[in-house]
Amino acid sequence: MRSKFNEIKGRPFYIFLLVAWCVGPLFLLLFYSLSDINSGYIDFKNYIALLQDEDFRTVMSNSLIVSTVSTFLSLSLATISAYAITRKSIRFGQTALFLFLAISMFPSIATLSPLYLIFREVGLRDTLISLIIPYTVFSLPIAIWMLSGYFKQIPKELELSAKLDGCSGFTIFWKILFPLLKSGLATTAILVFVTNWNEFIYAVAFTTTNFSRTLPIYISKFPTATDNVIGQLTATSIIGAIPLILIILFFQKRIVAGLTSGAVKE
Amino acid sequence: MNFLKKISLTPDEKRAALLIAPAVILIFFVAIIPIINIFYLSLFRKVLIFDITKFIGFDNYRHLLVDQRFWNSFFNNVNYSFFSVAIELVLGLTIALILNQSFKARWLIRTAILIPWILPTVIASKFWNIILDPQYGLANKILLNLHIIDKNINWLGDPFWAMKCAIMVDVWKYTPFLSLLLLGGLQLIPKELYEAAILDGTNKLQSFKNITLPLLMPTMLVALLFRTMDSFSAFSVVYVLTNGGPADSTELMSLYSYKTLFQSLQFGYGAAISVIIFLCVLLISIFYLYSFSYKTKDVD
Repeated sequence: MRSKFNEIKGRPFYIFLLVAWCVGPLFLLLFYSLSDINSGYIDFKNYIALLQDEDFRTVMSNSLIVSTVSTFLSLSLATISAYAITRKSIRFGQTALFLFLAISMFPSIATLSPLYLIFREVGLRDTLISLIIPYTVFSLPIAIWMLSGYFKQIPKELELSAKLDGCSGFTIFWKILFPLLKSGLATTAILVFVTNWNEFIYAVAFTTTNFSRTLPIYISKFPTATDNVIGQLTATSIIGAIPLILIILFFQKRIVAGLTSGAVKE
Repeated sequence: MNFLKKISLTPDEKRAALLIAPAVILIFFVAIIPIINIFYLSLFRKVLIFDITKFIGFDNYRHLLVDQRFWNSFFNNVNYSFFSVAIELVLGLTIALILNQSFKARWLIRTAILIPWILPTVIASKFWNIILDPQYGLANKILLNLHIIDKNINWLGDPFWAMKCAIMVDVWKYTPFLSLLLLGGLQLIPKELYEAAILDGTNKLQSFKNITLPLLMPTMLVALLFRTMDSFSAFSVVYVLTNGGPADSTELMSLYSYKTLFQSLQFGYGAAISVIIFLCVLLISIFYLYSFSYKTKDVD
């Protein structure tokens, strides 16, 4: 009865439209990257050219290094902090969490120029470190916020009984809390990784050569899409999208849960 | 004495403080100090190429008030934020309502919906750059073949269309994300409410207005808060799609600030624009948080 009540006419059609709208661009990009404008046949030459391109390989490894290192650093620091905030009996824990959340909402442009001036002063401009530092720090607040949520779901009794058995703080964390936290850590790591992989404004301001450029910047530097660079531009985009598509295919449930938990729970 | 007891830390708090310290110190130096520094910087005339640094008080802000290009970017931003967020909300809510029923191929749809969210904005913008190209673009070809237009339109070169295209890219990227958030909110509404409504003889529209909307309000406000704040500091869509052109018609505040900082190298003035963006975002969040606490009280 209920399903009838909420039934919307022509739903399959709308859902088809939605899927086409979301996936269509990706397929068009793939089509452009594989099609040879002159002959009209499928051709992998754009991809082969990319793999032989020294610049592209540097940029791709830059993106991987920067995103992975900053995600790892951020997650490690955030886990310790979230543990302290939620598992120790402290006052102002909730206030601290809200302060962290507020900091995560700073617009990047507001911290861009002071950081640029500092990095310029100490000679870090155009290095991967100049990206790893802001990426790590600006993903900290949201990581702490999310991980605190996951910590709170673990009953405190578990820890207490372990303490009575004479386990040390570190053992309790490593042997009892960490296994239960794994899935929450994975969700947080995915969201942080994706944010850092896609980050644009710091990367465009702090990097000047392919020595330290990340993939989004490299793609943005392609000349306007008019001439014969379309093939290379789209092939680069597709390769840049592959890690992200893999993440969706393997972790979609986690991503949806992670994205919605913050907004819906309050 | 009592006061001292209050601020002195318990052993547990001392341990906790030690554990939080690394994160807090990093955030302090990389986020808090720069924010304070940008207010300070905005009081200077600082031109990097000439190595000029001179304290000028509030002169930068006085100049902002009469800077046509700044006001242009401000109103562009209001325009961009209002329309993109409004369209995203309406479309996102519609999609969420359509998806909020048991159906097949859930996996496929979830995968599809996540794609625009996960793709870098740069790739999305470049994609639309290719499609909207006046001569080779697919958009003109299709519209010409369908006889909707009779000659090529220069989508990104015409001030009338350029902003609409930028808003479209924003809508493409963020609507699915918004519909996911709203779907999460919809699924929290107890089904019994709708069943009771049917017994009471209410129609679809009434139950939407009296059950769905009020109960979805908190989720909607959070989603709106995120999207409005983001769109007020939006940068990469217009940077890649049009670089602010034609004739500054798509120049948003962040882009103007960025150009002032890194192209004319006027760090004082660029900082002043950044401060305004920061204050706008702050005001928006205060506004939403206020209406949020107001609304939740209302529901209770």
